[in-house]
Amino acid sequence: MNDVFNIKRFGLLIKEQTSKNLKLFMMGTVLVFAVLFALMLISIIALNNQHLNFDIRLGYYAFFLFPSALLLSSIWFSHLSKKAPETGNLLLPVSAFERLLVAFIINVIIFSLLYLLIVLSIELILFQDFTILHYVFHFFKYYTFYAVLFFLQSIFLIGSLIFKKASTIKTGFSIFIIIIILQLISTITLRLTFKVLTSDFGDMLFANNYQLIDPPYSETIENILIYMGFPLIWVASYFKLKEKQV
Amino acid sequence: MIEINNLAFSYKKKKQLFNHLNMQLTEGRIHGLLGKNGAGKTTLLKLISGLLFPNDGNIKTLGYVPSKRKPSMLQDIYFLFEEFTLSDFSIQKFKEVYAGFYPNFNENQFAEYLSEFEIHDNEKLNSLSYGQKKKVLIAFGIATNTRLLIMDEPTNGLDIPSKSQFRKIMAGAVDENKCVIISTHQVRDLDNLIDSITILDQQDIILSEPIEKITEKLCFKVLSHNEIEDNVLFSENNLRGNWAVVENYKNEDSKLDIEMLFNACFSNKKRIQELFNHNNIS
Repeated sequence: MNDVFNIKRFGLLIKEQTSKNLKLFMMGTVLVFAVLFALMLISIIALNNQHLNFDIRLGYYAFFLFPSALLLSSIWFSHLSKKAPETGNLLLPVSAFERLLVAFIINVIIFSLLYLLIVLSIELILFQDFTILHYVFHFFKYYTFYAVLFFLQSIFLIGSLIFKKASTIKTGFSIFIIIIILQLISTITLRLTFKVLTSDFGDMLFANNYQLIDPPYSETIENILIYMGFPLIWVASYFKLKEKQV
Repeated sequence: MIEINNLAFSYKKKKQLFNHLNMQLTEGRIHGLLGKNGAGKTTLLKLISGLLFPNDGNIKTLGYVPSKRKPSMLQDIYFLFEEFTLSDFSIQKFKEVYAGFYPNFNENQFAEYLSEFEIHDNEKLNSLSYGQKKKVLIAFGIATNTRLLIMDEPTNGLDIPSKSQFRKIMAGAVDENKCVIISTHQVRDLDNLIDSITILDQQDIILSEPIEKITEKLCFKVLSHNEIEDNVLFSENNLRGNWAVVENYKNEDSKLDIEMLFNACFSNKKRIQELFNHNNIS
């Protein structure tokens, strides 16, 4: 028997996870649709029936995309930490890889499709405009945006494995603390090295022979974060899942 | 079936729960795991199944290292927890969703056990009482026909008729390939059911023996008022007389009283361990 991946087990796990979370998906979809729809309607009324600019709509969609995606990811594995476990707990005969693959399919793929469906429905009902599809068909052109979303999703997902209770709040708070620490390190480093008071390397200009240059390695680090950030955290989640104890 | 060698485990660094624990549990038996509150019964079950990892030593469950939680091992283990949460499924749906994970699951057995417990499979799990939910899980667990069935306080929440139904079902559920471990405080519920007993004390196993070996070395009997025996390990006065657990020098036949044995183990731990040579194989 293949203990890493088996299509039958994988199918059973998909069925288990979707059956268990069906109500959550349906309620979540209806809620996000209702909130976004209401917001668009209010905005149209506030603008005295003038056409609501696409960029504003895009802003609304992006604004609601993050909390809904992160909320789902942040609770995904929390059932594994329950003191009163379910039958589908860590002893369910599936591998960590299969669990993670199902998490990816549901959290990233199915969630994105559902959100797209919500957005398209609103666009169709209220504006009869499908410009939004441009951002889907040109996925790689806007990859940085998606990468940030996937990166945050992966952090909240691993948070649901690390924290036994209130994983959403604890993960959010941890991110906040990490950002503050990084800002402090950055400020202190810049202060000590260049005697400037800023926390952002991006505020600085680097020159060589009176020619402006990009700070060394900044692009490499940025690319690593954008392209490798979320896959690396998914790999870390795999090991965390394997080591999970209750 | 289960081999534990030199197991060490602690939740906190300073407070060791198990230290150099050795134990073997064989198939074809129902093992009773007993111990006072906080002795580590549930922890031991979690270590055996792979929900917790040892700090030191090793465990082999069904020939696997449980901490690796390989699906090929997990499909042969069913763990009934004392406390549990259930999804909002009907019993029928619950079976549809989870039975497929266990290759030896038997639908007819499941239906039979449910009817024995007087539960209809069209009922919603969340509309059932705690005891009824537990009965569904017991029925499901036995019907999975896994080689290892672990039950943590299975009779908690069951009413009196259900406890005897449970004993009846369990008695017929074991064959020579299966191993059942039942952990409980309610020792009376295991009367006439278990084939071997393991009694845990802090960091240690006082006794882990088959019933026949226990009754070979110990005798459970009523002592008359003028009868004084110097080999009494534990005695208790009740309405039936002066009940005692004595060393069985005279090779008398007696019926095991689990509660008396339990008390004897804690009041005369050293002597019990000497008597059974503490080889921990059952």
